[in-house]
Formats: sequence, structure tokens, C-alpha cells
Amino acid sequence: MIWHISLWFVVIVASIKTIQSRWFHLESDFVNLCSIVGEDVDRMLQRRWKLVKKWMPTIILWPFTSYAWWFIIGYLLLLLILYKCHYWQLKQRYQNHVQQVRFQFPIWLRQLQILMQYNTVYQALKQSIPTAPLLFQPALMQLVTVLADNPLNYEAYLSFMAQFNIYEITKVMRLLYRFQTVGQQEATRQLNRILQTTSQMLKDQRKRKHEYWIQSKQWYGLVPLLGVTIVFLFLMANVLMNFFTKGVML
Amino acid sequence: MMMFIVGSVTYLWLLCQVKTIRDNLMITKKGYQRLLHQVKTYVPQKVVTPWLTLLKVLLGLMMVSFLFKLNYSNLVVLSMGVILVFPLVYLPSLKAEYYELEFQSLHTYLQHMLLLFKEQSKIHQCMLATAEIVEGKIQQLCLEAAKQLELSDDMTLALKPIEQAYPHFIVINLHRFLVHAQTYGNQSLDTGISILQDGVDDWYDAIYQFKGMQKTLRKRLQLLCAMSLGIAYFAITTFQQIGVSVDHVLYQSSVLILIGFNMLTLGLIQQTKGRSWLSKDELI
Repeated sequence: MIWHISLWFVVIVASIKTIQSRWFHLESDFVNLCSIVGEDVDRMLQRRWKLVKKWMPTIILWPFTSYAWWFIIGYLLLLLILYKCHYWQLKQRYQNHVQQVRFQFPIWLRQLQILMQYNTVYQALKQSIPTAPLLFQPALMQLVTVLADNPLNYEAYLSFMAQFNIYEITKVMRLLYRFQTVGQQEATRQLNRILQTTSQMLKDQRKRKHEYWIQSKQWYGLVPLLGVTIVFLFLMANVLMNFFTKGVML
Repeated sequence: MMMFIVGSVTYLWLLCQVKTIRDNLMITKKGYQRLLHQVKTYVPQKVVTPWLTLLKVLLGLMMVSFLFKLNYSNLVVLSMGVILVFPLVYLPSLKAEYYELEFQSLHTYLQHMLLLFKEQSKIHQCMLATAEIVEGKIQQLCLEAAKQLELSDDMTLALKPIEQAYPHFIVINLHRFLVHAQTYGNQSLDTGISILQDGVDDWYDAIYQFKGMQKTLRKRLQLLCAMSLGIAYFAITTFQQIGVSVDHVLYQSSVLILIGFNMLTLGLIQQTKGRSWLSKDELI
């Protein structure tokens, strides 16, 4: 009895301690992910912890399994999964954001290129704010604010949407900076480079999106196959029944 | 028999619980009027005969049921299902025609505006000339914009209705460029038009490539349906020779499921047609 109680105690304390420890609740990118998807870190942590606490009392079922070892492993695994659940959701949302940014970035860039025909880079950036994709607007406003003081601030260009860590964005922002700083002839060359990059990016993103759509509908093909499988199963069952009752009639 | 009636009534009741099906019931007067209204919205000049198409579908269903020796009761259940969901499957084909025309009109508008502006450099003249070429909703919008341009100097305001109807980024880019070019002169005209032209061409190619992929997928799925029916028919006729009974309740249920699943697949394939050609992600 004492052995059981002490084991219970160890398990519960260990679960709480493990989950509460920094090692668990702060994944290296957790804070960054929260800031990107617009979630409050503390509230998110509370939500994660609340979910785990809700399921903790299931330990009372342990005696009904005669203190089986698999129960305790399953229990700890369940708590771990529940705790990680919100983090995984966060990651998924982040991935969706990245996909959206990847798709919308060349679209915004096209707008910018058109505006750049009659404006400076700073003016073009400023004018693109109202029609820029929603995901870009906060970063764009920040960029415009910084560039208003110093239009040649290289760091400002590089830090634009840097949290998404998308190579293409950094590359294009570097080209934009060059376009802003160099002379007219060199600027045309830089613009052509940006144009090529944008066209390729837009093509790739469209292609990826279309392929994803096609892949997501491929499973429709399984439905008729399932129907045939059911028919086959019945036929086999019927043949077996006939075989055992009447024998095969040829 | 009692079980069958209860089952069928429950199944039909469940189908009717789906709001989209309930709102589009073709057998009610209101539902039929609604269907015709929707048809007129998408293809105003086309004479459509939904009842005739439904009759063809039902005949096809009867033929398949006859081949598989399906009971009349099961055939009635399937037919009722077809009648209930028919408008949802019928409309996407008409929508597909409408969306294709809409895309082509918009593409023509973009192309002509670019070409004409290169020669004339005046939005108003380009708009009037383009209105003569395009048709449908965009034509009306072009005429409205031209009228507005005559009344006021605010070009952005005049072009707004077109942007609101088609908030695609290429349309917005074109309008922005045209307004800037007419206001500040033609120094960047060629570069700007070249950028826009590339954008329009890439868009056109991407859309048609995607539609081609969709068409191939639809054909592949239709072929799969036909093959599944063919394989099942071949298996059933073979197994009948070694004593499998077609009157057995399990046989009838499995064939009902097979035909039902095939119809479901065909319905899902049809549904993929009814989406706008203007991708939501590219709208601003």
C-alpha cells in the first residue's frame, strides 16, 4: 500500500514538475511563433496548462487497471500530447501564415513595381499600404516609419518580415535597397532583376497552389474503389457461406 | 418492408436536413423557381432544360440498376437522392461556363486597355474602345467608367466600380499605372506596360494550365467510376454462376452502396467546376 501511494505521488509530482519546467513549456520558437500569429504568450501558456490540468485526474483510474505499467506510460504520454497540442496548432497556424506570405509577397511586389515607375521606393512603399495584403500592412507601416527618417536604412529593409525567415523576401528587399541607392542606369538593371525574381516567385507559388488543389481532390478516386471493395467482400462472404452450407455449384 | 420504409424515410429526412439541399429542392415550386433564377444569373441567354437533364440522369441510373439487378425499392431510394441533390450538381456546369466567360472578358479588357493605352495614352478613349470589344458585366462597367470620366477628372474614382467588381491585383495595378501615366506623362510607359503585360500573360497561362489539370483529374475520376462499375459487373456475373444470389439483402445493399458511391464521386467531380476562375488569394 505504501509502495503504491509513494509511486502515485512520484508520478503526479513528476508530471507536474516536468510540465512546469522551462524545458517543456518554452520550446525554443514558442515566443516567436506566438508573436507571429498574434497570440499572447502568457495566455497561451495558461491555456496549455489548463488543458493538462483538466485531464490530470484521470490518474484515479489507475487502481482499476491493477496499477498496470502501461497505464502510467499512456497517462504521461497523454499529458505530454495534450500539453504539446497547442504548440502544434501554433506551428500549423505559423505554416499557414508562411504559405500565405509566400503567395502574397510577389503580388505585393508587383504593385510596388508599378508604383515605382512614377515614384521613389519610399513613396511606392507608402502608397502600396492601402492595397497591400493584410499580413503585410503592420510590417509595411513600420518600414515606412523607419524609412521616413532615413530612406537609406539598410537594416530596415532587411528586417522587413524577417520573422518569417523567407529567403526570397530578404533577397528582394536587398534588391530594393540597391534600387534605392544606385544611379538611374544601375537602377534599371536592379529593377529587371526584381522583375525576374517576382515573375518566377509568382509562377512557382501559383503552380504549388494548383498542384496542392489537385492533390487534395485525388482522394475522390478512393470512393468508387471502396464501393467495389464492399461488393467483393459480399461476394466472397456469399461464396464461403454457400461453400460451407451447400458446396460449390458448378 | 417496414424496416425499408423507415430507413428510406430517415435517409430522405437526413438529406433534407442539409440546408443547401433543402434550399435547392427542385421538386418544390419555390425551389424550381430559385433554380431557374440562378440559371438565368449565370447563363442568361442560354435555354436550359433542367427536367430533361434530370430525366437523362434518372434513365442512366435505371440502366445501371437494371444491369446490376437492383430492386425497385433501392432504385427508388437512389432516384429520390438524385432528385434531391440534382440542382447542386447541375448548377456547377452552368457556373463553369459563366466563370470562363467572365475570365475571358476580363482578360480581353486587360489586354485591350494595355494595347490601346500604348497608342492613345488616354484612359477615356481606351475605355470606350474596349467597351466595344468586351461583353457582359465588364462592358457595362467600362461604359459606366467612361461616362464618369466625362463628368469628372477623378480617374481613380471613375475606375473604382471596375476594381470593386474585379478586385484582382492585376486590374488594380493596371488602373494605378494608367492613372499615373496619364497624370505624370509617358516616361515609364514601355517598362510599365511590359511589366503588366507579363503579369497578364503569366496569369492567363497559369489559369489555363490549372484548368487543364482539373479537366484531366475529372476525366480520370470519371474513368475510375466507369471501371469500378465494370469490374463489379464482371465479378458479379462470374460469381452468379457459382451460386451467388442477387436477391440476397447483402447483395442488394452492397450494389446500392456501389452505385451510391459512384454517384457521390460524380457529384463531387461536378462540384469542382463551379468555382470562380479568379483565385481568392489574388484578390485584394
